[in-house]
Amino acid sequence: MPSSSTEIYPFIRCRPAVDPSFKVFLETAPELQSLKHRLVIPRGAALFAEGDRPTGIYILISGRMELITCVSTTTRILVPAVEGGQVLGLSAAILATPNEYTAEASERCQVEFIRRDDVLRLMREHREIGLQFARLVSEDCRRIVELRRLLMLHQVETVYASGSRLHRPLTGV
Amino acid sequence: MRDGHRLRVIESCLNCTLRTESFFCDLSAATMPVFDAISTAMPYPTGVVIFMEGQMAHGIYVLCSGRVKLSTSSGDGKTVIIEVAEPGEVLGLSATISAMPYEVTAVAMETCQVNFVRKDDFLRFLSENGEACLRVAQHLSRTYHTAYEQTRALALYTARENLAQVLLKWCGERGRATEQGIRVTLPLSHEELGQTLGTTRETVSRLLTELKREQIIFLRGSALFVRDKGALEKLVGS
Repeated sequence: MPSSSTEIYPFIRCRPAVDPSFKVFLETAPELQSLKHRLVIPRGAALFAEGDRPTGIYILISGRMELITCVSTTTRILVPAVEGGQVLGLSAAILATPNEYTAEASERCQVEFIRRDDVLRLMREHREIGLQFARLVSEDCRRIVELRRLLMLHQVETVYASGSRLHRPLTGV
Repeated sequence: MRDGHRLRVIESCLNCTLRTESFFCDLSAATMPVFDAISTAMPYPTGVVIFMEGQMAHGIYVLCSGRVKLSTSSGDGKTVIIEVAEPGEVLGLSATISAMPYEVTAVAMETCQVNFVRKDDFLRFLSENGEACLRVAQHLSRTYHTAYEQTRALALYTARENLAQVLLKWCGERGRATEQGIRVTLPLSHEELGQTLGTTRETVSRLLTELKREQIIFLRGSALFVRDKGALEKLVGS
């Protein structure tokens, strides 16, 4: 059985901190309160898995999550942890496409879940929510362009030259 | 309508004949005039830089016609092509919404018509239109999802497999069935193809030669004929 390896990309920017006023809004806005369901995720548990159909979005209240994408049966790409105030699973929920990554709790986390239908309705009815969520997705777009740029500039030629399907680990195991 | 650089520029979205199914072309009858009022139609001749990586975002560009190369560079001048944008795509959207610098450089690959909307006007438009916000988020989510899959493919596949993937994509988008196979006019040079795949021009030439030798493709001038599409699909699926 092949051993698995995890690529850690320390040079990928962590998700930028959520605008503090938006964080307060997420925590206190009356229109959100009745829609949120609080969950406690133990360390090591997956909040959602790559490839699953999204059922909603998750607002991380406390703790740390890691975002993991499998690029082969033995290799995973791990993007830096995200911390309190971040919204996870948003783009997949908006499009109803499978989750692009697995969100795994690297410590005990508290999250709040909002159903997909409620998210879409909120975005239609509350322009500020719509604009803020669009900003969050745009940040994800920027990060993926950066990841791709770094992969292509620093690694792919090495991978191709070796004929290997696996990345040479940069750091970590 | 006026002529510019041999391109017939359509000044207004309201009587546009180039409409695609993309977000901004498909706004509701009530919203379209509002968007039309804040957008400016501009022609860009081949080779002109529309915006540059690192430049603070000053607005969005809706690509109405033509193709635009989106690329990014390292400090030592190495370039990678992130995407070739087709009509209907919105350039600079994530940077404008995030109020950040453009993350790529956009260069017209052929004469283009672009509708420009200033950042302040665009953000005001969004803040006044809930439906538009949702659709921008959907547009960005689609961009994100596609980019994620492309990035994963880049990490997962070899250069040969990624080249096969690109050729299959072109067959679907611009291929024409002929007696000799599917004819595709190459939209990129070997060097640009290398920049798309994260490899060199020499590697691209070598891989194309291998595919020719295996009688999967053949080249005639700037046209590429795919003789054995099944073999390409098998390469990608392997």
